[in-house]
Amino acid sequence: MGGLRFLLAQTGLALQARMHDRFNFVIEQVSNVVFYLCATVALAIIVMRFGRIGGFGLAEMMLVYGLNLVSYFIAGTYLWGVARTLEGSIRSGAFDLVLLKPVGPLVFLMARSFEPSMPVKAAGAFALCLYALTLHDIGASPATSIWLLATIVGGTLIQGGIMLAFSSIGFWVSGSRDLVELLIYGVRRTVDVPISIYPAPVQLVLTVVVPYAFVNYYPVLGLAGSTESAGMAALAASALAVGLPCAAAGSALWRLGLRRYRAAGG
Amino acid sequence: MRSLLALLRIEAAASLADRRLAVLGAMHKLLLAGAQVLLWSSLVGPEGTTIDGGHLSHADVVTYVLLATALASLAEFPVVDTINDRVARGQAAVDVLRPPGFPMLVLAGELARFVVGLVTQALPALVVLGAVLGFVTPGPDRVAAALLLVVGGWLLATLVGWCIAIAALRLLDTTQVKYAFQGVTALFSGALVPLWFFPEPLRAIAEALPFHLLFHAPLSVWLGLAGWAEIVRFFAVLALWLCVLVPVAVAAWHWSRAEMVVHGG
Repeated sequence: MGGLRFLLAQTGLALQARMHDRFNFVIEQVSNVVFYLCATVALAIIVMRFGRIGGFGLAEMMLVYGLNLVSYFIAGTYLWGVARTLEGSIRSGAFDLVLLKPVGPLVFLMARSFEPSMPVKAAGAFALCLYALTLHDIGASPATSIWLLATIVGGTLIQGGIMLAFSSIGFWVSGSRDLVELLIYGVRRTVDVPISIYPAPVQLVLTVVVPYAFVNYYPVLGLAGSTESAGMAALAASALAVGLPCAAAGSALWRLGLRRYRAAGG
Repeated sequence: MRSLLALLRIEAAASLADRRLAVLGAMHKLLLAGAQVLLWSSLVGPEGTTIDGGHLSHADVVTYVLLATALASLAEFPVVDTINDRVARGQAAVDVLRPPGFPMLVLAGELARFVVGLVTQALPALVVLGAVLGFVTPGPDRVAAALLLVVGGWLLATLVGWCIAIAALRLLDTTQVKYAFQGVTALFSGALVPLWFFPEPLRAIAEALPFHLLFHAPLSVWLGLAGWAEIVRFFAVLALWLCVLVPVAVAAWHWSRAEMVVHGG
């Protein structure tokens, strides 16, 4: 509870600091909107030209893209900075000071890594998901709302768990920052499109090893057929079912790395 | 000229200093290019697709995707980060005092990083995936024309980036504006989707903007989808945009330098 209070207090301070230069903050958000709008237009152009991608039409494609983004931005609000800076702070010795703080090291690093533009981008991606649902045959209903909420929560847990697991590489491998960025940023982008376009081994990796496919592909696949069979309904709820163990695994790996950590000269 | 070459050599050596970073960069390119090739292969199928009354084979599409991924940094405006970083660290104040001058220092660094990035990161991915999936290589005349367009495109992108970045001397931080430019450039240059697949109104917009000279122009030339008349037109439009951008970049430099404050100076 104390950790949460600290996190919220630090978030407020970080937000205040960032809003000090409001013009720059607004420009940043406008730039982000333009960036992701252009990427969405590119996606729409492809679907308009080729009809379907991996069996998915425009609405499903926008959902696949939007769900990947919204869950990544929510998880990244506190964890992306941890993933980027952990290895550097271990190497410089700054992590030793983190261990001396009265709150847990993960909470402290998360508070320090708060990125205010991420929630704004998440809101934009969420709007894209809502728009995609209005385009979809299934339309808006209480069941669809529950599906969307469960998928976003599950997807965020998956993305967060993966970010935490990859960040923990820093405890074992020196100079791993770029490797972590490659694993998080590069691999995540492969599920901007349905995994059905990839060969079976790649699909297997994205389902079992790094379960990004449960962030968007399987839930969207299940959405259309959820009223048809129990199997499809299970797929629709798969993000949450996979998200919980994924977050637990990421957290376990972090604790394992933390136990292994030895301060320089210690 | 000798000092420029020396600068290029120093910057290239600095970029190559961390070999592990170069390997990771190559892996990143391989991953991105591989994913893109699989996406486009699933879209066009083994028989290819028709464009503007012509035909784009599967090998053409693979080649386009591999080359577009290799040249991706053209749409990323890395010069914006370079200059903003130097301004934030106060390094810009030292740079302006060094003999080659700030613009030359930055240009040499960007060119070296672009070339080193192409050779160490993009080329391995291109060779590996090209060998496995097929790669179209045109005659030497088209290779030369495409390479010249890439060099011109790099200059164009760097000038656009320079104009955004140098305003940091007045505004302190202009990195955020870069994202909007990255998005627009990626879309209208053909980096994300080849312009042949665009609906007519969007394609007209893309061709009116300079960004199509970064990807669409050199890759059309490479794939033999642009005739020599069109190639001449590409060079003429490129020359026109450079003639517009060079004075703008010079004016932006003078405007920003006038406001430069060196603390303790």
